Amino acid sequence: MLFFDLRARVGRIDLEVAAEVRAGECLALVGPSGAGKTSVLRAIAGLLHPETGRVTCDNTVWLDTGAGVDRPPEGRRVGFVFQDYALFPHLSARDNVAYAGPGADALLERFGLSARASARPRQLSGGERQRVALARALARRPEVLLLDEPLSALDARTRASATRELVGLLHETPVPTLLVTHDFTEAATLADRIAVLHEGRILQVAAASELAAQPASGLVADLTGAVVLEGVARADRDGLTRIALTNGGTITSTDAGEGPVAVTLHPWDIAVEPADSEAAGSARNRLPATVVTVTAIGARVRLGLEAGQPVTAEVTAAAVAALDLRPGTRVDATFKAAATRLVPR
Amino acid sequence: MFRAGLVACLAGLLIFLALPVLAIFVEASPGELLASLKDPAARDALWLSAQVTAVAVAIIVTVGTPAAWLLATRRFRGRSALVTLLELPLVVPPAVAGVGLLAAFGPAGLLGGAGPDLVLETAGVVVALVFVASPFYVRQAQAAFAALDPTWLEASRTSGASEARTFARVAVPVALPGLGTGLALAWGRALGEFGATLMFAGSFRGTTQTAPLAIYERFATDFTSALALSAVLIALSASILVTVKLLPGRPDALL
Repeated sequence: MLFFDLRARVGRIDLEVAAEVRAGECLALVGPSGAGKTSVLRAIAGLLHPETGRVTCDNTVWLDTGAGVDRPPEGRRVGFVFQDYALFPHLSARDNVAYAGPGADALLERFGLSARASARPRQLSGGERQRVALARALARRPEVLLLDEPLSALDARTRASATRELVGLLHETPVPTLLVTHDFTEAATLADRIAVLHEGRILQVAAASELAAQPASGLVADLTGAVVLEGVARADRDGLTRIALTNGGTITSTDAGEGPVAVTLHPWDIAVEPADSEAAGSARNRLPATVVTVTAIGARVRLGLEAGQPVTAEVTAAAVAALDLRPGTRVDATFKAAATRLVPR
Repeated sequence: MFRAGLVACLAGLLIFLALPVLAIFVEASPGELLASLKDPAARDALWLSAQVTAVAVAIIVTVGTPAAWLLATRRFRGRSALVTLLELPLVVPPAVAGVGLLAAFGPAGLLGGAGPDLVLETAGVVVALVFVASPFYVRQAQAAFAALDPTWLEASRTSGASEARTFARVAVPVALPGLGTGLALAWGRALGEFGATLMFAGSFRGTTQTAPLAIYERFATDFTSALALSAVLIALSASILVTVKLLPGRPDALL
């Protein structure tokens, strides 16, 4: 098990994070760039020295500023995959892996790289480089695996297969894994739990589905891809909550809330109707909006709407054709009161 | 009109710089040049130059590489001042360097009598060469180390290598073109060293008379012999220059 509790000033961010990762578990650190995600990995690996902190791996203390323990990076058994892979440019793929430990040929074979063993990094494709980096991290026989955006340097086509391979690898790996990514979907695919990091603090730690369904704050909801509307809530007599939205408009929620809130809902819970059409069901919320963007994603179409605040709706291609939706079209965005979640701001 | 002026300036510069070099080969016939190289004193001077420059460059690389690594990888108070101090021999006139070396290591100098006898000895020539040539190497090595991607060094550490191993197995091999450029520049400077050597070590055949000093000694009495030695030095310097140009790490950061 990996445990870390770190406080460090990194640039303009006050990092203050603590978490545990069990053996065989993958915890993803997700957040916008500049949230301090990579700094957490670097501190665990011993590349960054926090003002105060404790890092233990199983029963070995790697860092304990109180007790004056600070093992150098080579004294911590980490398998670190850097964002740009950081392969040694003067060494072949095999020598890159062998640099970290024995068994290079077996690892190269496992990653399907035997035929590329003598190639230099600059002769390898992006996907091959990523696999060499993973093989090098495993050659260290790590007690902790640290992956910094392991898929972000890949093109879209390579990324799909690399993701599948990485899922398989993480299932087999018996050590705790800490994964850094800015992509919630990637984290949801690879990790057992997700810690949402913002400005150096962990906002929420939960499984991906739980984060999407019950975000602890608007920031978390925003990150999971949900629509976030800001406003001020007050309880109404009918047991529902009315929210006066910032920049105009009022909506109703079945969630309880009082004062400044973020209203979150999923893009696929929002329907689009012609502007000023009479409401079919008054329990529905109705926001006048203007279409800004129309983006087809397979059979779905993602609509960027301006309704005082930006709103994203996902509708069928048929609906787009029927309503003749194009940038500039005025519509009403509608959604059920029960589809909304309120989180305090 | 303007363009013609530019071309004229370049042509004038080219002729001015190339003429003395060409003249050395034109003044005396190849036969004469080869004949005067049979002179034992000339051969002694060339052989001594080869030896002292090799020893000086070896010392510079051995001490200068770790020093440059330290300067490139650490941030500390007074670092800029230290770097400037190390670069001072680049701009100090050679005669001043000679006086300085005498004041430091001479019989009546700061360290007078403390170390081995240097003045008028071959070892003294090496000291003078190290003094004037080391900044050329250290500057270049420092720039080469600073240009390394820091994540390579971090990846080495997380792969289980100590800093010493990282230095030897990653930093030096990857920075090798830059280090080679620095070595060639330092060697070129050492090969041509004249003033500091003359003042500190003198000009004694077989012990301190390097090729440039031998040229100076004979240009009044045996001009053909001076030309022959000069031709050899030009060939050597040109080969250094070509080597530097062919290495990937160019000395663009140099003065």
